[in-house]
Amino acid sequence: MKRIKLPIWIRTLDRALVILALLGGGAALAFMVFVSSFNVVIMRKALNAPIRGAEDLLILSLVIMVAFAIPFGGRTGAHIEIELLESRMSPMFARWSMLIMRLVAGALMLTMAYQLIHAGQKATKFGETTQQLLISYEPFYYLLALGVALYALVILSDIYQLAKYRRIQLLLWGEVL
Amino acid sequence: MSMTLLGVLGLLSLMVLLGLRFPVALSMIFVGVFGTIAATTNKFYLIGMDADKAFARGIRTAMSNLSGEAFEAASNYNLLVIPMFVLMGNLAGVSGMSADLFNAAYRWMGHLRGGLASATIAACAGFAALSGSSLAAAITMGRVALPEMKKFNYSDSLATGSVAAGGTLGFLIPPSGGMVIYAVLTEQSIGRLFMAGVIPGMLLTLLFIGAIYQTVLRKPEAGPAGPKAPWPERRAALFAALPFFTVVGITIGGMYTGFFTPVEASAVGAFLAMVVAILRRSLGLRAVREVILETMKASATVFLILIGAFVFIPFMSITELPGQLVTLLTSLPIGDYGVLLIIILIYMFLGMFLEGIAMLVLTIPVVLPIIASLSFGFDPALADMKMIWFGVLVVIVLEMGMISPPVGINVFVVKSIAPDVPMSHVFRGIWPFWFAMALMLVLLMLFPRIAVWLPMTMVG
Repeated sequence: MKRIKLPIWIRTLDRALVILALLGGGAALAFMVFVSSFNVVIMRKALNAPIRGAEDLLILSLVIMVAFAIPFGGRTGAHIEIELLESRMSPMFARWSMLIMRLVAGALMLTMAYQLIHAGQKATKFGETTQQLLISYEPFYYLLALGVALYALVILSDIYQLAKYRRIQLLLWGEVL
Repeated sequence: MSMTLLGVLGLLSLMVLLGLRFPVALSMIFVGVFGTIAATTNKFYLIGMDADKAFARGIRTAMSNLSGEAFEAASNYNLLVIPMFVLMGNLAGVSGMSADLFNAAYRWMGHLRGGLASATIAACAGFAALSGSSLAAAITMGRVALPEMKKFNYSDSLATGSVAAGGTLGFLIPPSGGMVIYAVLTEQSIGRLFMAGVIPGMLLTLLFIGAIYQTVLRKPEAGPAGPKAPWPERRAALFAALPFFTVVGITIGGMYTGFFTPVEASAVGAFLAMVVAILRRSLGLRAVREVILETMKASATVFLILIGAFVFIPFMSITELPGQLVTLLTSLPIGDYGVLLIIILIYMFLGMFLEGIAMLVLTIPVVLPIIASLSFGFDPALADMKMIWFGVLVVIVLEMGMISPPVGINVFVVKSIAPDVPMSHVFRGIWPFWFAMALMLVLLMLFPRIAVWLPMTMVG
């Protein structure tokens, strides 16, 4: 199928998502690999002196990775949909139902982002911290909220594409980089 | 309104949303949030609270679950194994370890009738030990094996069927993404589940090779024998696959001997795969980019769906629907295995329409209490082993779904690699493997020790 030239705001969003996934996600993945391997092989097994709070840092890097992965996955078609009944629907019904469902999904994700911010504001007060280093979860709640809000924006771009082009053109990162 | 009715309405809404192509994860979040509001309001209203206050309580509970459960899923230490094993598999792909593996299997088995298809299965089983994804296994091995089988005039159905079925081994042979999700949802040990998958994984590999043998016995032209590789060539191929055996030996071996936890093993495995890729100079800038973005994409699928499951499960608990189902099913005069058979048949049916991970997270909240309430001949002290055994059964049924018409995902993946092969030929080719999986299920039901022997022996 011929590729559509998407409007600049969607292309900017795509570029931002790929860069965030590549740099943020890449850094988080690299951190997980190196810290975990170094901690277990060198510090724990060889020197019998595991890094204090390594598990805390790994958990936080996982949150960072998830926050960047969710919107990126949304734009690259990673989130599973069941397409079985679509072929039995009239094109008009399929398009409108998808549009309405995307609107509901966007609202749901915005609510989730808002609730994550709300929970983040209370995290320090309620002592929500990592177990060993006692790092507050507050900024990580905000980061996850950002990821979910970006996913809401991805859904908005889906709605725009459905309304204008009657189909959603997924992001191919080769085109962005 | 009764809680059970609310639960049923929740499940029906979920089905409608899925049918309308609402993403599975978001469907679970949607039903989880609104279901929790309705169920909590109903619960407090029934014990005499004002309707307004009960509704406010319902909203507070649902919103608190929404943020709390989402963060809980994103910060679950055990789930670190998902991105790490996906990364390891992707690095193994770019480093050429998967091609070496196929090459070694090909040199040793290619001269037999159906040998190339058997080599594909063996290589898929080996690759499964590096990657937890059936799709990754099918794509990686398909790209290497399908052109070879075409070259030797293998029938399209046997060639594509063996790649599609071989790929499913990635879901059973540890590290398995499906097992990690099952472990997190059921609060079982990931390490024990991985161990439980080893023997069934090996047996299923042998059953697949048996299915190929049976196919070529019936139709010898489906899998003609290739040339016999001389011994030095075989030894050289085995030597080239040494990095693969080293990485698998250290990671998986380390995990089974208790030297590493599953999380540590996954990180060390990714590190070693990266070292191999660097030493082979196959990790250029473009490859790094591909590996990171593919890992992020695969992780996104799993984490969003787990967030959905984490939000959905509390709703199911409030409605007590799983408990009602337990009462209903255990009251039937069909015994434990009759109930299990019903569950497996339902899974097989759902597997025709639903993607494996989606099916796992959608069904576990309902099915788990049923399994927990039955004994299946297990000693009550070994209740955890029963759940591990069931986990292996579920993973195999999900594998069957991956190659079942009309939406077997591995079949579509193979079709994308072999676009000139008609879909009907691909589906025709998977049946011998589907029956091999069914036979594996029967064996596991008759002899649960196939799954639990290793974790019981090694961990206790």
